[in-house]
Amino acid sequence: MKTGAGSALWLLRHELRLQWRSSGITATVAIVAGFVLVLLHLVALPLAFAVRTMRPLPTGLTCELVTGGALFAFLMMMSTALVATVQAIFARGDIDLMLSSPLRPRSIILVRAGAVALTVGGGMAALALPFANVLGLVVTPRWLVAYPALAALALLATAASLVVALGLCRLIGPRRTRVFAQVLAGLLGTAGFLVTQLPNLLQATGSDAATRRMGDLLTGIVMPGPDSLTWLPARALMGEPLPLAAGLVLSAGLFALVAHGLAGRFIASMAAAGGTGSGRPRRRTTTRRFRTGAVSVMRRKELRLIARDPWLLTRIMQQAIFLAPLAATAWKHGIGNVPLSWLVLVLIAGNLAGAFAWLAVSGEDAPDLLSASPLRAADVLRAKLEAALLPVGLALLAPIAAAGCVDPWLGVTLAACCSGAALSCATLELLHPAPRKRSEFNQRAKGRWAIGLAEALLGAGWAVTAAGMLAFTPWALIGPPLLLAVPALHRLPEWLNGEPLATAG
Amino acid sequence: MAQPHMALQVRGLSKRYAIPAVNDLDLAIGAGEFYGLLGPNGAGKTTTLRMIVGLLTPDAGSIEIFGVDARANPMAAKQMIAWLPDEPMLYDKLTPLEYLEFVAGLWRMDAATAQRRAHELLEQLELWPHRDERCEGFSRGMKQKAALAGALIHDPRLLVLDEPLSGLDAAIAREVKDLLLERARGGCTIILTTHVLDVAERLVDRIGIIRSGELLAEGSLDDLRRRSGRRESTLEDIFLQLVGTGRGGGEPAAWELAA
Repeated sequence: MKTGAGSALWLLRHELRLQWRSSGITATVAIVAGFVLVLLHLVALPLAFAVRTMRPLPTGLTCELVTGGALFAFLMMMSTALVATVQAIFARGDIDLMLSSPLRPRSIILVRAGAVALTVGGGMAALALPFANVLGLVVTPRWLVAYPALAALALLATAASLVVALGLCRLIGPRRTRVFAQVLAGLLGTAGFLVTQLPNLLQATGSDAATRRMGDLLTGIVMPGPDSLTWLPARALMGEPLPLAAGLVLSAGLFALVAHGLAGRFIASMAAAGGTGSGRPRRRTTTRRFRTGAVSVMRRKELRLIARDPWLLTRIMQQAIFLAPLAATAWKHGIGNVPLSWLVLVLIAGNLAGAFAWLAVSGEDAPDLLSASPLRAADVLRAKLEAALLPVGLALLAPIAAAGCVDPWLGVTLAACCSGAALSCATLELLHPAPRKRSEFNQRAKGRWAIGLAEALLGAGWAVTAAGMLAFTPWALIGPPLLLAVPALHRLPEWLNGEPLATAG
Repeated sequence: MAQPHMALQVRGLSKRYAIPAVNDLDLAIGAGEFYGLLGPNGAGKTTTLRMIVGLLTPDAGSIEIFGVDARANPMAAKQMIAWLPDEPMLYDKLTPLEYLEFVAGLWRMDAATAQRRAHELLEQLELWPHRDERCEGFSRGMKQKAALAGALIHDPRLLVLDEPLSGLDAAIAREVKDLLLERARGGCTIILTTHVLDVAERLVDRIGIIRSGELLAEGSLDDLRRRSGRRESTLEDIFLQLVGTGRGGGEPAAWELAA
């Protein structure tokens, strides 16, 4: 096989290098990840010994567990693959270069799809294979079937994501595909987490009769008999040779069929995406009068920029979606009659506010314009803080109002703690800016893990405060002043002195 | 104390990174003057301009804009300045009209005046038909024109431009040059840096040539020619003679500022 410049392997290496570099993984992180891999093997040891001494599970239950695990892996892989596919096909700025080169266009598609499969498979393999290795050594080598199984799932997930991306592109165009794919990926990821919660949901141990009835209904629909074809993938994953071979052939065949067979359509879509002018005529606004007031125009500018970037909005909302499984898990636990799931709103408030504040401050497209303007840094920051908090308020208004209808004290608690969490997290971002392009939103935590951790802790702190308020404990009074003061402590003097924004960064 | 007719008075301005970027620089630019600051790459032109407009804090020296101490009273100084860097400071998701509304708001213009001026500028720069399109779809030249409109909307007394013609096609460059000349004739003081020496030769009243953060020579083109002793020299000849990178290389000319 050729490996020189222009060959498929060479192109694959280029693709993987791009994906690696855009992941923001540094050498230090890679070393830490290596240690984590070793640690995962060690963690798997007691599990493996426990499995060895366990009585074999009934076949039906094993099939259910394996299918659940495979479904989880597939959904998570497809979630990642969908984003990676759309990025590689519609969003990467190199398509004109690639298509104008003497490389065969079909090879480009095949290699890009292969790189996506390797990336998504690699991510899941890093989590799953340490356990498979140890179980294979300690219990039975049949566990090593995880290797081909993961490869098959990765190919299948990539093929599915290619089809979905192409379908979306044809239906709604390349611009909107990025946005919808993002939403879809978030929903797939959430569905994956919810699959892991399925046993809890089906147990129906709640006191509520309606919940019990729903559990019975779900059990009837989801769990077919032990001889059903539904369990065929599970039997493949448990190492039955024929289903395994069939699964591998099917996955590889589907992948090749999609990547090769639909290459022409992909190329047309890529070319369309490359040629799509992102500018488009807007609604006429010339009759609208200019508004005045420096802070007010600043605030409006921030809100416009946020509202006009649906791709970014979906990325932000995706973070909130990923908290849904936590809400599902916490549903059965509560303080009095109030399920703890409501407290997830506090985490969401902090998370959203941090994200919007990052966009407003660190993602500022024209910092020099603001610095060169006769506007005080404090005014700029105030406008940006307001702009960051307003969308959070709008997003959470309805659920908090609903909570207030369920239990007025719950509504008051959530309103107070969501506001607090939003204010703390937004202030943290405002006072610790790290300028980047808005499009690099996903990498905003790069090189500032302490801020990311502090943001998560502030959100959690406000959630604990909310729990304290719901339990009417006086300890809840300690939280607010502390959580509001922490982000501002070390930048407060500069801010109050009205230092220019440039130096505040 | 700065003389009242001086638009910009810079004394002993210094800024050091790993090496000195600007070193004890003195500049005096009269009101209504069109001044070109020239120099090779890395000469300290942009650093100088960024200090003048308040984006960088100097290590030493003073800056006065129309008699206002820009370091002591930056807001009052900024009120009179507009800054246009080579990379347009635009928001891709805003339309030119919205961008101008935003900039006018930053400079606290009243809404009616801002709207009228926005209309005039967009018409003048031939962006009016695109007023409701987002800037993300604009060409480099259109973006630069939108940014120029933003710089001019608050009618600055001192316009500071860093490579304003970089990357523009001939037609757009001509439009921008015409607009700048019109502003200069209207009394606006303009400082620009450019690598296109022909542009400097045709546009500016006075030229300052810097290298390694130090002013090597300053004066009108005729002054510089006279000092160089070659009356038929082009600005390019003089420039290369001064910065010492012309054909034949060698050291910079000895006549420099002392002349």
